[in-house]
Amino acid sequence: MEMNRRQMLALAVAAATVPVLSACAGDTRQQRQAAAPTKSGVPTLDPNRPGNDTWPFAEAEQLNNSLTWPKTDVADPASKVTLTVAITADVIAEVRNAQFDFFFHKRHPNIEIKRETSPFDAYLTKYMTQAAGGSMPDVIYTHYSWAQNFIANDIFQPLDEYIAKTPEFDKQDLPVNALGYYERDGKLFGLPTDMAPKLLFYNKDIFDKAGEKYPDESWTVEKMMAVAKKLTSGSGAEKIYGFTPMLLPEPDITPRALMQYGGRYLNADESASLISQPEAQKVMGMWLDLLNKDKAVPSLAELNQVLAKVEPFKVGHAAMTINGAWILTELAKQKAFTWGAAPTPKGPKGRFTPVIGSALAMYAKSPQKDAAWIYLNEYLSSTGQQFRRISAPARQSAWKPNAEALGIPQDVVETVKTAMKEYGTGDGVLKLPANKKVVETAKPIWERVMIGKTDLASGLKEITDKITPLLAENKIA
Amino acid sequence: MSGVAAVLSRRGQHTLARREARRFHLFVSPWVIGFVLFTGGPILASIAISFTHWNLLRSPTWAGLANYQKMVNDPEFWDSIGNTFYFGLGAVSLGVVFTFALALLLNQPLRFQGLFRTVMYLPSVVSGVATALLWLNILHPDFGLINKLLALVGVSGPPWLGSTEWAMPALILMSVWGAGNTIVIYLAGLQGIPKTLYEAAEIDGASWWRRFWSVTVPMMSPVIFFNVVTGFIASIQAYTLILIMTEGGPANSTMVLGLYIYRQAFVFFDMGYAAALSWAMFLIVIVVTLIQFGLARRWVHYEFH
Amino acid sequence: MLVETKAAPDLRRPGRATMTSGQAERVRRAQRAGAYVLLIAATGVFLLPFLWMVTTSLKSDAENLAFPPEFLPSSFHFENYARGWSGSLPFTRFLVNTIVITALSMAGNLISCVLPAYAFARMRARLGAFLFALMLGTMMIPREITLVPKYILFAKLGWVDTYLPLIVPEFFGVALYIFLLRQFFTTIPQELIDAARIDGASEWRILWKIMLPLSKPALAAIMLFSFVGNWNQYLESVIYLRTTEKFTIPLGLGMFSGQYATQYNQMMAVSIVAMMPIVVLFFIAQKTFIRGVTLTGIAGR
Repeated sequence: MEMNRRQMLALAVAAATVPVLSACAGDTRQQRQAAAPTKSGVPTLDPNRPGNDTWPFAEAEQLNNSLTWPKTDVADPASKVTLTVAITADVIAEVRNAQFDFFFHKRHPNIEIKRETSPFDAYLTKYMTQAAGGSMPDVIYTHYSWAQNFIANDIFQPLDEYIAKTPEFDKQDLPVNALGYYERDGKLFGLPTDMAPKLLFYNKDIFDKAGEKYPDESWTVEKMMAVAKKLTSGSGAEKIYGFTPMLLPEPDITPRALMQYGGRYLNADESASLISQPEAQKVMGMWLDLLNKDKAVPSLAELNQVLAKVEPFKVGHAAMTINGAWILTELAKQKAFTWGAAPTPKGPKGRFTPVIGSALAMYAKSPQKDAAWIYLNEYLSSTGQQFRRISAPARQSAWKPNAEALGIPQDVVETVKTAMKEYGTGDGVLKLPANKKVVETAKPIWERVMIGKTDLASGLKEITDKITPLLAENKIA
Repeated sequence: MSGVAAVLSRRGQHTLARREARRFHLFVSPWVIGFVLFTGGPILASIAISFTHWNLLRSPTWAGLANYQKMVNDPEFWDSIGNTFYFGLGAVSLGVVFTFALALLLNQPLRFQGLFRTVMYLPSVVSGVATALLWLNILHPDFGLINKLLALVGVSGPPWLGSTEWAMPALILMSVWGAGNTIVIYLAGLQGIPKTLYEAAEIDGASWWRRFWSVTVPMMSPVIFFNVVTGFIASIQAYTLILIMTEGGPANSTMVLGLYIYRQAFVFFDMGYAAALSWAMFLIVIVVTLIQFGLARRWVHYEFH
Repeated sequence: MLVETKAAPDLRRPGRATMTSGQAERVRRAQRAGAYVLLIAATGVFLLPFLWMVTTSLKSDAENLAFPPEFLPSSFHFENYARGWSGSLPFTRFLVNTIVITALSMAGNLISCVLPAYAFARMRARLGAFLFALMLGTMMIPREITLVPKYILFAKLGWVDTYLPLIVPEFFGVALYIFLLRQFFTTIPQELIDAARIDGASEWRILWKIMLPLSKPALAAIMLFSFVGNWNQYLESVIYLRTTEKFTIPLGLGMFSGQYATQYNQMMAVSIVAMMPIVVLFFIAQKTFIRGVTLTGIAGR
């Protein structure tokens, strides 16, 4: 049974030689793969023809050839440059991005793309650490909530000059109500890649069963809550919630729930808390009743499932949810229930919905800004977003073709477009540097209110007291 | 080998002692060189950082004692210390006893011993995501395994991770369950006990219980000591499990110091404050460890003094 | 570094010469049965996450999201393994990278931990206690706080997007492993060392011929921890490795979770494949945890 020292030595030697051998083997395998890219059964990857089951190379090639790529007056570099592009993607998007870069390089032979992909959860840690080391990639992905911090610290390059050099750049095709995330002192520092409004999604099966009429544009917040209460049923594993998730003091709470009643979380320049004002307090109280009196939304204990990214609505256990249009891809794929999307309900002060997303920016100290612009211009153009088939493209003209390709119903696309144009807004969504601190500070206090350890008024006052000193950071920025 | 050794040898009185010291320095040199090259610098830097405001995007600015003042007046910091000790004491005391018992069991010459041992080790290597998903389901208030079992005996179970009272016990339970490494260390340690000691005890007619207390425990004491010391250090620093399971909630009831530091550093990017908190944590850990080294004289049995 | 000696290990079960009565035999049998019952019960609890991984890995994409989750899939989707492994990311490549990093780091750990541990355990020197305390001190500083200064250091050296930041520091000792080995070295009877010294053996020889052979279980434990630690290393890999071709398996696994949805089935399939080497290594390492292997021939202490 026991291993003697000779065996242990052999094991150690074996362990040390494996990498050397396999490193040698690695190259030959790659060559072989290039020669014979498809073996039956097991999918293989070929760097010279990037693609897989989801994104076959042939389809990408055909699509690429059928699209017209945008032009700019910014000239291609005269000699070879390497452009480092930092983005976030999952396994699915990664393959499509590889295809985009492949064809981009064909169009611009002097621009070599070095793509750095990270999972979303690790992205910010990775690049903030790199920034501390004094450098950044040439092209940088940014979430809307990070952008102002980067801008305030001179990491991003203003893009207005480059936009001016690109006559066919159609700014009106972008969601102009929500470019504020990337603006400062009248300059634009980032261009959105995805941007979507939140909509009222509903489970048709649950509505049909109860004989309720589907939500439409006539709905008010009170109506939504009344129906949510009515559609709540069952318990334990059979529980159906009328609505999910519970309202939390999250970055977009202002246009999501408060503006409808004339309330706000913070004032416009994010320097003062307004959450304990009567308008906001009224709304928070309504939701608290829906949670504790009517039990129509998941409680703190039940909400834990969200951590596993299993949202009750997505698995057919909630009649309604207000969520970003980016869940459309997932909804379109599932077969468990039928669903619809309606405008968010209106309140006495009107109809609002947050529009949020993410963007790409250019590093202010990048040595190859022209090449970076050429990449940004194409990646973020309507053509680029159509090629990438993303579900919530920032370019409004890409919504229709992408929705068709992804199997998203056209009536839903119309609902999205109306929201983007008419009542969707970035106003009130927390975006200045203190936003994370504000959210994380308020959360435990609101949780105490949710479980009844603090009453509504004193909870909201405590939030105001605790976050007010944090807001000073927004003024410095 | 080094200037240090040279200085020492000049001062040395006894040739033998000098030779031993020189050899000592040669032997510890891998670690010392590594400390000088890779570890020491960043540690010193973190002391300096704690006296600055630094958001990573701009050069740090001098803050004096501001971060430490902020810390002293930060109720969340003090709360997190309480939570840290709750978690640490729970996880270590339960863990040491439970894993030791399991290791003793796994040390019995039974059939399928290797298989049993491998299974007990599994929780510490399976993917963190799988572990989290599994426990979220086991602890679910309505259809979770634990509450279903409790319902069978007529007890209505708590909402576990959703409750401020029960979230921490649930996390402690999880951490004990994933302590495969501690079992491995105990198993390794158990092999070092000369069987002649057991034979002698048996001849004296000592019961199993007596042999356990008079042979196993004293002979294992350096290993138990190691597990207690490193267990405390690890659980005072712990945050990954808690980050995945509760993010410090509900209502900050599981916000331990490690998670608080992580949040200041990599969610808020307030490096100065995070560094100050880290040194506070260092102080706590070192006090706890010194107390343990002090107590160790009473119960840890070394062959070499 | 491990030299063959003739210290023939004793594989016999511990003999219990004095026990003869049938009653004692019955007690022993009952104890054994009890041990089995306990072990089998514990096995259920400990095997659960692994079974969970297996069943999840076989579920269809739609079933991944079922609520409440079903333990068993309604149909078995073995293709998740092929899809996960090479459907979108080159996991074979990642496996090779992971092996390279892990093997080198493990070798580095073993070499660089044994010597300091021996010195701390058995040698007297003026600075001994100070250095030992310093080493323990480094364990007490949270890793997150030295992460950024370390990155800046390695970036200045031009080591970003190479394996060097992950491997080179591993050749300079790991405080935890040194401490562990030192504890084991302290349990080895002083008589053995004194006897060897009287015979004129050098410190190297004492280490080679006495300490290491007698600490085999501890060495196996360290090898195991080092392997698992490097194999699953995530945070530093994320920060230092940039090009997808250089990714390790944990980084590849991270990419199964997107911003809005996670492909649990493929993620679990790849995770299972990726943890197999650890399971095999553990199975081999635990074989050294057999009583009676080491301290033979020092009876009558």
